Amino acid sequence: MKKILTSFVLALSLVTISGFDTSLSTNTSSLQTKQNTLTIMSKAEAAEISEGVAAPDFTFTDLATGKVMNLSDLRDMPVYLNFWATWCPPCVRELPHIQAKYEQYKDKIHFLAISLDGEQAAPAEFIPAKGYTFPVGYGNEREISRAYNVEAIPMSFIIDTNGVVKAKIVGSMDDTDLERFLQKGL
Amino acid sequence: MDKRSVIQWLSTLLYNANLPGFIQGRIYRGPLKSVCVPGLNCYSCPGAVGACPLGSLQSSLSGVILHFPFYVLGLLIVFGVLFGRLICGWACPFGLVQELLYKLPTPKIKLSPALQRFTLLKYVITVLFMVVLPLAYYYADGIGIPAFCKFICPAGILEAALPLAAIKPSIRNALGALFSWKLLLLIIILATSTFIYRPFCRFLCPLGAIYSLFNRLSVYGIKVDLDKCIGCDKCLHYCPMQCYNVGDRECINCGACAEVCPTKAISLGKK
Repeated sequence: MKKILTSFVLALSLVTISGFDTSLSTNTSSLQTKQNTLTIMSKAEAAEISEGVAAPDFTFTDLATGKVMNLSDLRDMPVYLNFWATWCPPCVRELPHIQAKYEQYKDKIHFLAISLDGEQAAPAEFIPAKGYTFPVGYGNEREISRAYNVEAIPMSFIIDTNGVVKAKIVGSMDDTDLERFLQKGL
Repeated sequence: MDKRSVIQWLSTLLYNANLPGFIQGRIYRGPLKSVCVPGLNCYSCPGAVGACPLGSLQSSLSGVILHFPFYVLGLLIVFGVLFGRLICGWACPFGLVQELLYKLPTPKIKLSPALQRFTLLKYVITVLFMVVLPLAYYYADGIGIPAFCKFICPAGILEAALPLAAIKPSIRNALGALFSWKLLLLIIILATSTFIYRPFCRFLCPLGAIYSLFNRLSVYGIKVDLDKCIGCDKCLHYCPMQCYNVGDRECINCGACAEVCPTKAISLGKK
């Protein structure tokens, strides 16, 4: 009885301690990153990213062109920003609707679907395989989801030309929902 | 409080040590999150510092890219070989919840042998919801789904959906029919827990099903000293899981039998 208890507690605490140790060290490193991009992170940590809040800027690679860009580069038109991942069934189901709306509205709204996959290869292979042509980006998945406080995906935003969030929605949208959502940016 | 309760509470707290998450409604996403805890504990619980082994297993089969879950299966085998269903009895938060409800002063029901057969349901659920359905969806429309999490898991509703919906309007707005269905299932399971001991563990839980395969082989667990055993079966009479044999697939190594054994033939430890 004693042995079993001790070994169990030992095992449990080992896992926890090792984990917390790394989590502490990563926290410090993410702190350093935060200082480099102070405006972004401090704003993001302070409030929920919702209507009326400045959309946190972030860097991403456009998967089609390989170009490294910032969200803030897209100020000439409103932005429809979508967070998704290949492992997320509702997100993937939304993509055909995004493609359809992209073809309809690409001259009026920037479309940007940011993949929160663990690795860039996942969306980079999937998107062309499906024949999607709307812009898909990949960046520092952890920092972006922290900045936008992404607790569930798909999550979509409409961002106006001043970089301010005009609308936000959590959950998968069909054609009608997406149309209604995009109207808020038009 | 006995030792087992202490460990149950301790593991529940350890798995969900990110307490500020419950106030901010923010899911902890540090590096520890890539470690699976041994018990059933939703990844999306605002407090969770680790991942759920069942959720992780299914995420390898969900979405548009399938992976063979070497890491999660390996971990489950390690946990299983070491502890078997001792994890159910000592280190599972959802097991603890059901046990606490069983303490309520309601009438208690012992399962008839016919109902006992339904403990096999958890194996069906494991194969169907953890493997067949995710793969069927993948091959049918190219998108695998985490079927157990999506259609059944009551721990996800209790630990993640309810607290997150309470804090976040955006999550509240996203709730639909699936939430209502699983909430109903959760309520049924919790209500049943007050008069049947651990119904979820016995009938539904895939994790219990997986660990049960290792129960007889595990390094640690319950053992009977046959030299001391007088075959009185008092152990089986007092077994809350209604095992047919001490340490069989249904045994969660809670040690209730060891306490009542008149000859002290039963003990928990290295087998």
